[in-house]
Amino acid sequence: MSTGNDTFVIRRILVAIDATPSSSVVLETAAQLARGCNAELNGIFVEDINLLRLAGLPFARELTWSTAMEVHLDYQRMERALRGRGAHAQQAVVNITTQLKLHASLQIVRGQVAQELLRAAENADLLILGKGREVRGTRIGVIARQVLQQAHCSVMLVTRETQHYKSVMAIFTGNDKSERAINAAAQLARAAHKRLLVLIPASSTSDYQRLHEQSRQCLGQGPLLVTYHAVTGMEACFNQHIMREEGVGMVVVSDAETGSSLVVTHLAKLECSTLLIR
Amino acid sequence: MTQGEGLNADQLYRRCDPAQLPFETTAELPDLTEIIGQERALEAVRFGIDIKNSGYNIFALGPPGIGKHSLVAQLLAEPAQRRTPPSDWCYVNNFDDPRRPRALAMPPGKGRLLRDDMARLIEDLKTAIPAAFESDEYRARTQEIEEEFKERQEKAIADLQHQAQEKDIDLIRTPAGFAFAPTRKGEVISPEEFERLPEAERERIAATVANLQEKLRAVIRQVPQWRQEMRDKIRALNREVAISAAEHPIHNLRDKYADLPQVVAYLEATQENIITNIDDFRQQEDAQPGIAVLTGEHAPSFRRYEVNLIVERGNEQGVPVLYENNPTYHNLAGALEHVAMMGALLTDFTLIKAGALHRANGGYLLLDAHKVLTQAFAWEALKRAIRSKELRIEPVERLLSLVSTVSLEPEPIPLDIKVIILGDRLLYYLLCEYDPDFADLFKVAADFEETLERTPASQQRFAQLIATMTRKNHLNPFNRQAVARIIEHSSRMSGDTRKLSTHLRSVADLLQESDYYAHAARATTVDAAHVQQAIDAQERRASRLKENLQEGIQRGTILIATTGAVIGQVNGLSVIEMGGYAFGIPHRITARVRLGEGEVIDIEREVELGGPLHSKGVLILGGFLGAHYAADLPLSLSASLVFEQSYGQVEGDSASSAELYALLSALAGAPIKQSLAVTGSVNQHGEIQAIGAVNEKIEGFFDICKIRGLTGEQGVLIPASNIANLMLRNEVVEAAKNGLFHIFPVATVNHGMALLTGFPAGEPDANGVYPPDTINGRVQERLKALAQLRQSFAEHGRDKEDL
Repeated sequence: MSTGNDTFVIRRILVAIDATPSSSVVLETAAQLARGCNAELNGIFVEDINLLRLAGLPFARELTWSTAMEVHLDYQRMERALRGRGAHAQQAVVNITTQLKLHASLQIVRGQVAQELLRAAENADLLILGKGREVRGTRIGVIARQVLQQAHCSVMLVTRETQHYKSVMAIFTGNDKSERAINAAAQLARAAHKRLLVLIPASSTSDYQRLHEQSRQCLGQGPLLVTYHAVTGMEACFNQHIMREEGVGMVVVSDAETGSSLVVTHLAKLECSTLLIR
Repeated sequence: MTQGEGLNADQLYRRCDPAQLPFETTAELPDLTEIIGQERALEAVRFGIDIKNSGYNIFALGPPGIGKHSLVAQLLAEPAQRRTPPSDWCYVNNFDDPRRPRALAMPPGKGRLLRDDMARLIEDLKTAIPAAFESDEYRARTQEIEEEFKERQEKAIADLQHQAQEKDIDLIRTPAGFAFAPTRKGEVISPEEFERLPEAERERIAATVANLQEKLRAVIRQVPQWRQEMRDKIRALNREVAISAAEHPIHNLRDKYADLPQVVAYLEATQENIITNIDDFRQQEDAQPGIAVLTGEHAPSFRRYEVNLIVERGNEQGVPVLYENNPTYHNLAGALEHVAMMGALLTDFTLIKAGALHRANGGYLLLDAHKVLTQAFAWEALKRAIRSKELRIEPVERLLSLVSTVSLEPEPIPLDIKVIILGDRLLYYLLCEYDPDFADLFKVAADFEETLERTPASQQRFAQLIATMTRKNHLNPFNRQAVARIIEHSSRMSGDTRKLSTHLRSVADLLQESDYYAHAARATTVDAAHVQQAIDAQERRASRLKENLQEGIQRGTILIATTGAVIGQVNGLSVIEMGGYAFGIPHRITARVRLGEGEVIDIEREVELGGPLHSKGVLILGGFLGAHYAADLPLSLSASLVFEQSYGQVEGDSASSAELYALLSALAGAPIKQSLAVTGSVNQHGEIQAIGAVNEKIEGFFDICKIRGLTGEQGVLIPASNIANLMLRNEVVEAAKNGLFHIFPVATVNHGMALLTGFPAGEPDANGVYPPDTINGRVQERLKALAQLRQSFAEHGRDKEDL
């Protein structure tokens, strides 16, 4: 999807659906975006092979989170459950496309979730998936991180709370991808009627002024309220406290910034939705 | 009849000589400071006011308009001013039990202060508390607590994950929870692969997974406890922040009301409640009372911190003197009002409404007996309050156990009150008789006199009373002639030349009406003519029925003769009183006699038109006849007596002398002069006794005679003992002076019969025999003849039996 210029263009969107409550928000976000950009929308539901394998093991038990009750797992039941979820996902796609008058397809595949998503995203410009409620330090949330790190396309992680925020935040360092990131952020802010908050890590005033000027060229057409903040470095961009104060609901950043793995780590930790531009 | 026996004009009317009144107009007279003619009532009311013991409430009894209210109010004014003002009373929420609101007694004027202070406090807290919770410090501290919880949870799971990973096992999220599975390169090994593992390895994995699951279970079980700990910490933090926000302003109030322990306790309870319900202050905009009603929840409402000031003394001096004009149950004892919300009726302590008893608490409450007694439950509520010495607000429906919905039971307020009931005598006597509580609760009876002695001194004070009333009502001054005329009228109202009426309302009405006529005549001083005009107008306004009856007599529809003489027929006089106006009207009374067994038949009684007093009068006649004329003979007549053309009840014995005259006339065959009318009751000895309304009766006959033309023969026989009651209309007096109309005082039946028939009555000789040419002689003769006739009939009957 890279066009080489500073405009962020999306033609194909892949949305990962897992039939959980948060995934309906994800699907809706993707559908809205697809309609706004006039992009092709494809859904994917992955039947997690790990779950099936787990269910086939003789000692397989699950502990319910709410009651700590032990429940025996078996393969057929798990398969049935996954099939049901797939059907649910299919229905959700039909509903949203009818509602928004869109065309969308859904493919149901079985395999390792991250790998299947990455494979399916090879032809997409943007992969959208739910952020879920990760438990830090565990395998939970690992998929999102893996996808963030390995996808060739841009990746948007969507949280359940997408309505009540005030601003879209972009980090601008001046490189090409950074220009596209700020352009994407401007588009998102305009579409959602939010404010754009641009953070510029700069070591000197002159740097800041230069980057500030440069970033303004990338905002595109249309009315937009933009606020600029100079920050000392990339670390300072991810201050959760400031984000809460500013009501940031979406963070847009490119993978070309120094320490891209650091950026990914930060993005995975954020409470709000994120968009990593590639 | 001899003209000389009639009363002279001076005896018919006792004038008030204006020359005796030492002033020109009432403007010169000072106000009357004391109350005239009510010494007994005055003493009773003063006693009732002063005595502090319970049950010494006052019942002021007397006819309406006599001035009970103004006398009591006048007497109360001074002691009420002297006493220390009682408390203000407020109802406030009872935070422990909102169904039982607390009553707070506040020094006078402080109630409003507390109410305003509380309103201001809550307004301040509505901004101070959210501000405290929006502070960076609070936010940082809550995040810290939440973060700690999250970290704790994540650390426990991460530790477990770490332990698992060391053994190539991973924690996997399943549709409903978590599970452990052996992994290779991040992927769960397939069941086939697992089967291929050596048995020892398989067992090791299964055991490890079982062990990890046990550990995970322990972690999961701890999570709710950790969450609880987090909530507790947040709650403690909220409390800390709330205390810091609320403490200072409430502390200030506590200092302000430090001398009122009840208020301090209330403020402490308020503070505790605010802190406990701090979320209400934080989420004010979310309050949806309607929804709360439907869901049965209590919406955050700040009404509970309001102060319902039910009794406010303000800057009044002394204790209250309150007259409750509409003493319904709720107006007396207070009420619980309701508001309709979503179809339900709701109430709370702010809807408690004070009654007259609350407002008069500490002072005096004046009530009309008739009004209290005719309002449902009011009398019982009043007695209950006085007896229990506390004011308890209970809705009527609960009192009657009609409904049992949840309602309020406000804390009772101690009652210290003196109740003064104003009512007429009948009500007082009925209550004494039929209400067993009454004598305990209203021990002081203030009985109002309807008349006072007419002396030069009392006339002078009466003039002062008139002066006071004219000034109070902004009337023109009355000159001495006008005052004299009013005094005469008052005497007439009292029905006694030696008395003056104390009926203040009538006096006040006459003053205002006289003033009206003076105004109409553009006079600046009210004269006797204006007073007379007012009296005549009053008479005229009320006299429709009288004129109708007089017209009936004039047309001959009602048969009344004023000339000639008829046997067994006499003009009796009756009085009709309607709507406070009384007038006299003549009635034809006739008697017929024949042989009989000594019975005197009163036709009125036979048809139940005669009242008991009337019947008594007639029965006396039999006694008189028997003893007077036939002491040693059987009374062998049958006499019938009737009030001709009477179509309603006849009551009173004032016509008994007239009936006796008719009877004697019938027996003696002596015609009675129809130019005379008769009033007076008679006893068995033939003495004529006093009757009431003598003036009205005389005037009633005079009016008829006047219409037909006064002949100089006409007149009225009145009991001699009624002379002192004569205050006749001027035209009657004038007619008597000119010899056109006569008032004959009569002491005995003999005297009356002589006047009516022109025959001497006759005195008995030593044997009790009357001379033959006298009335009594003829009566005796007739009775003797009847007795003999009866005897002969009896003998004839016996002869027949012998045969």
